[in-house]
Amino acid sequence: MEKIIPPNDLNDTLPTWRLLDTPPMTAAENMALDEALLEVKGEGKSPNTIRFLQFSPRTVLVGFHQALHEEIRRDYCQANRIDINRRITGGGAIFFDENQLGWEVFCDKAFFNAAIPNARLFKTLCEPVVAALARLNLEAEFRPRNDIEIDGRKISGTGGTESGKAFMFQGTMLVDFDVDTMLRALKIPVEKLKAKEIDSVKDRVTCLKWELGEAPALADIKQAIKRGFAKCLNIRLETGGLNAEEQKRFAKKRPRFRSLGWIDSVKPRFQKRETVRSAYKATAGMVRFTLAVNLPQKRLKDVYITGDFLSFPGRALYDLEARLRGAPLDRQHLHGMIRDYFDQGHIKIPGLGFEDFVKPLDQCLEKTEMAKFGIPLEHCNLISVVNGSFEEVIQKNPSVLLLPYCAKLTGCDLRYEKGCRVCGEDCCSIGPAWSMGRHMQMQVTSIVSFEDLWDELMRMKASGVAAYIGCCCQPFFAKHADDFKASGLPGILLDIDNTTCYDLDQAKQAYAGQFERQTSLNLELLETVLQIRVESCGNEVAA
Amino acid sequence: MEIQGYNLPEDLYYEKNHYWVKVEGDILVMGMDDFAQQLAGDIVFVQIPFAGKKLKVGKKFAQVESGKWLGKVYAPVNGELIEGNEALEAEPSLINQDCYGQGWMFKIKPADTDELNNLIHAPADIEKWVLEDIEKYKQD
Repeated sequence: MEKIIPPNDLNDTLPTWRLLDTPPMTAAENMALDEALLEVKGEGKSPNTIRFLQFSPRTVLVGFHQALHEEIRRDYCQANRIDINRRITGGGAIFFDENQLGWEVFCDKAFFNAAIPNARLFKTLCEPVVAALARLNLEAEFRPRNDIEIDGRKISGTGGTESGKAFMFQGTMLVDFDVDTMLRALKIPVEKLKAKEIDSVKDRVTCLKWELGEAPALADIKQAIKRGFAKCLNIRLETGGLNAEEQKRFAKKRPRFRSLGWIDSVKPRFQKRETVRSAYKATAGMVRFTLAVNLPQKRLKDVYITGDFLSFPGRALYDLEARLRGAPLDRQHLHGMIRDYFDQGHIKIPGLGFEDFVKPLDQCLEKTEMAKFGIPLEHCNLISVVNGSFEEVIQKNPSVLLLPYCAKLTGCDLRYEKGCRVCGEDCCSIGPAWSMGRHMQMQVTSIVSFEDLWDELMRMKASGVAAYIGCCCQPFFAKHADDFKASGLPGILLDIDNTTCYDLDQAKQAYAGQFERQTSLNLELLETVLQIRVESCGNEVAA
Repeated sequence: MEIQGYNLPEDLYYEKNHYWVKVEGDILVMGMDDFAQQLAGDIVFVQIPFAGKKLKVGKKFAQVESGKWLGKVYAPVNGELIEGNEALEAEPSLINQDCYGQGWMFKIKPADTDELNNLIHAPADIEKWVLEDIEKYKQD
């Protein structure tokens, strides 16, 4: 391409970089080109380069060392024409649709006088994009270690790698954002795809369209990023194409990046991702913790703190999440981080303090402890404990099984009574649970209201019951966690199915024992826990 | 020796990308030094290549990830990889906890031990090199 040199242009003395604006490509092509460009640059056979990239079809990309199975909903992606591939850079899984723009820097390590990546380098490489956003009238900031955000919401995530003499640094620019598809394609730790949860993800990310009302033209965004780099790195950018060596390397690499050998190359032995969650109803509001954990490596991979409380400043909660991300899965360590954050005044929540945050966190950590009994973590999510750890409660050999009336048939004449005749009705889960408890030599009773529960707990305590197992829904537990605790009795509570009085907004009726729908116990989970009780305490089983 | 908060034992050899090399009989043990470990932050992944891999001095042979950056490990000498520290697969943070001990990374059979002379070893050289890098990587 012919160079147009404006007269008296001082730019002429600036170092010239290549601007490589590649058309939308498949994920395999984009990844192959990344590696080709980096290698050739690392050998000193190409100019420093800024590349724009886009994907077609849309794609999910895992980080270099991540296991696909742990990060991506493969069936959904395959059914919805979403490419799956693996980056040559580190970091987490991302969803990249046709609306997003990627930017990349390939350059000599010498340009930044650095051979080792460091915080200052990341900042230097993010500043051009912050400047680009300023050109689009958006006030963005660099958030260590390497994100760009607007008012606490992430608009650009970045990552990088190196080869020989060169660095490669890449980032995304969210232009428009399909949260719903992202949540379905990636294993983001949200419970179910409820509107509320989509909103909580929306609170943590943003895109040009949401900020500006409409997405700017792609050419304008590219121009802003180009100018941002030119200004911040003090360089001149000149549009160019691939050189012969790059083309050769690109062609040669494509088959490998299309192969399962590359895409599926990491097996989830240590690269695990599992989710635990817990909620606590404090006086001033509900606090939910959702943790993505890597149990083999004892790491907190990701954390979402949500609820119906208000926190100040608006971004404080997201900053706390960012601090906790990647931390060791250690109770004391995490408590220390959260306490410091509150003590240093980074966050203010009317009516809520450090203690209200660590309660649901501790419940989450307790769930990870239960996994040691061989209960899959997804099932541990359905278990809560009071007045002791799971292990401690089991060791006390729980002798009473409490079952909620709401799981009885709505037409059952004993629905609002304490007993059950184990009639064998198909659609009732109380009968089988009742038999199971009896079979395990437990005293089984049905709970008909909150008052009845309290009376029952007090009766049990007075008669020397050491511990109990109960079934109730999560919202009931979250609401009454402090009551359960106040009873002083150690207990294990198992979640029941989803359509509870709380989902239907009928908590008041249920409280008074007038809830008219039928819920269902999780019999499989009950059996697992009762079995652990037998194994741990050597209980006799009734003949 | 301790240089401005970085621990760099004097009996080790150092490769300029801040990896240490220790002589243990006929073989070399290698790992990340304290300077690089502190700069990198939490190490989240270490790739352990297969034993028997041929190493060419200055060429990359393994990868280490921290803070979304996938870094490369370059061979300090010519030779052959004879073992990787498998404990790092489960617990890469051993490098942060104990970079000269439990966080060791690779064992190498060198082609020629004379090549060690190309690494940084004399205490005065170590000090000069580290002071220069402290200046170079000073964070704002």
